[in-house]
Amino acid sequence: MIRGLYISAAGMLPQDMEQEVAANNLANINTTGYKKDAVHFKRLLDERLSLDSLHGGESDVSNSEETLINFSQGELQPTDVKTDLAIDGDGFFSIETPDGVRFTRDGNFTLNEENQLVTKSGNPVLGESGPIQLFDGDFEVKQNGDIFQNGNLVDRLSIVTFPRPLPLKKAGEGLFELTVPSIHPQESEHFTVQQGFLEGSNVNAISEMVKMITIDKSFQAGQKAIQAQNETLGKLINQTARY
Amino acid sequence: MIRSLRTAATGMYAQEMVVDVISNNLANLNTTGFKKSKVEFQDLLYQTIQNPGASTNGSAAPTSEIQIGHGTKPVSVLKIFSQGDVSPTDNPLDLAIDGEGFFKVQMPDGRITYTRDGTFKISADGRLVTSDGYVLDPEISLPENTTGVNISSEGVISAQVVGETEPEVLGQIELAKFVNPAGLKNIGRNLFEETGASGAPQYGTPDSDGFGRVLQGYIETSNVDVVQEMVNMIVAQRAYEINSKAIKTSEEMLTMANNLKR
Repeated sequence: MIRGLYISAAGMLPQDMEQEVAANNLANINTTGYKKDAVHFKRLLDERLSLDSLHGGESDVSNSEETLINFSQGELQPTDVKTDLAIDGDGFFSIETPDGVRFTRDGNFTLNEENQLVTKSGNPVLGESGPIQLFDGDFEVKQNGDIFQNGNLVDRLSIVTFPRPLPLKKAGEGLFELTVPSIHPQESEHFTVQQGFLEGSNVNAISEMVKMITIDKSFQAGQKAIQAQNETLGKLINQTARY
Repeated sequence: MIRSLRTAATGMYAQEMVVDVISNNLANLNTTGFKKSKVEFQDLLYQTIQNPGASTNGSAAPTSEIQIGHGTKPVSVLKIFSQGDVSPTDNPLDLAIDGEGFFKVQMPDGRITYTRDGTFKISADGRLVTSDGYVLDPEISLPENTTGVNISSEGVISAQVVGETEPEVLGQIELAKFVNPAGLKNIGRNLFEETGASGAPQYGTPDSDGFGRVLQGYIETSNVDVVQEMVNMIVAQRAYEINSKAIKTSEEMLTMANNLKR
């Protein structure tokens, strides 16, 4: 009986987290280069439900799920801005931040006072040999990431990828960081860089809505189960005593 | 749960900002030389919840962890400098630029600002000025008794003066262009200021490498495209709506949790 209460509660707690993840996906439905998260559940193992582990409900539950990033391609939207770049295919731009190199799909760049290509937060975008230093004047980015000015090759964007599954986690501001620092990025081969385009968010409103309805209803089911068990428990305690 | 309420609220706030910018674009639908803007977003920080028992040793294989985001934030409002349509006005002092250049305008304090709005007037002392009375740079003065002004596509200004048979050349319009015009700062009155992001201006004469031709008797209309703005407005409105649904779902779940024990 008491065990049933714990099981129902354990079923309700992850829904809470799922709702938080769905809310964040929806908040970022128009964020450039955003990749949606999904909560991945592992079933609670039966041995976890042995009597001696019942009082540690929460840690049992949090061990049962992880968030996975869905790296599917977002749609490319034309912007006609020279400093906007989008990757079509596999790979990430490399960005130099004060905390080390980070990776992003958000090619919403600009130029700083020294004519370097930087992110909107002012962090340099990396080329073959460090930050990309441009000269005054027009520049063109080819599909393979080569950057030309006045017909001369200036630098090449560092578009990198990693062994699957991608060892990346989110660092905010559209950036991803390595989960395992020892992994070295490798040059990506299957991509084109599109100048004057940005990659939209890959969040799909319909599937997130469906997810939210499911979350809502499972949460309700858990609630009903707890209420029912509470009533049964009440009957047991209050009515058994009468005999 | 409370976090998802706040997360969805950032989503609603962001979409509100999109609608604000779209409204400004639409309000300036008929503003000469106006350049439309759009809002760009990034996601906010993530809270990483390490699973108990997960390895914190960097060399180990990635362990499962939970990353929960806190929503979105606007990072910039980007101006888009695509060419607007040119439309004829029959006014000889209306100039449009067909290309990337900007007219240079001198502010009363001596600063140089930049504009695509070429609706010039003649001031009381005969100089070419903007509608606000700021002087075109380099300065052009029209002699008295001018009967007509001719401006070539290369920006050479000549005037027909009473009693003269040959037109008198008064000067040359100089244009400025920027590596990254999107980095320019809007200061209102159709004027832009250079910033670190825009880079330093390059000066040149019209109709040479990319500066653009000067068209006399035309104005450049705004580059706002109504259909595009309407579509963006629908997208923003729906995104706003769906974020409000996320708030509602969170709120219902809170209510249910409150009703666990009646």
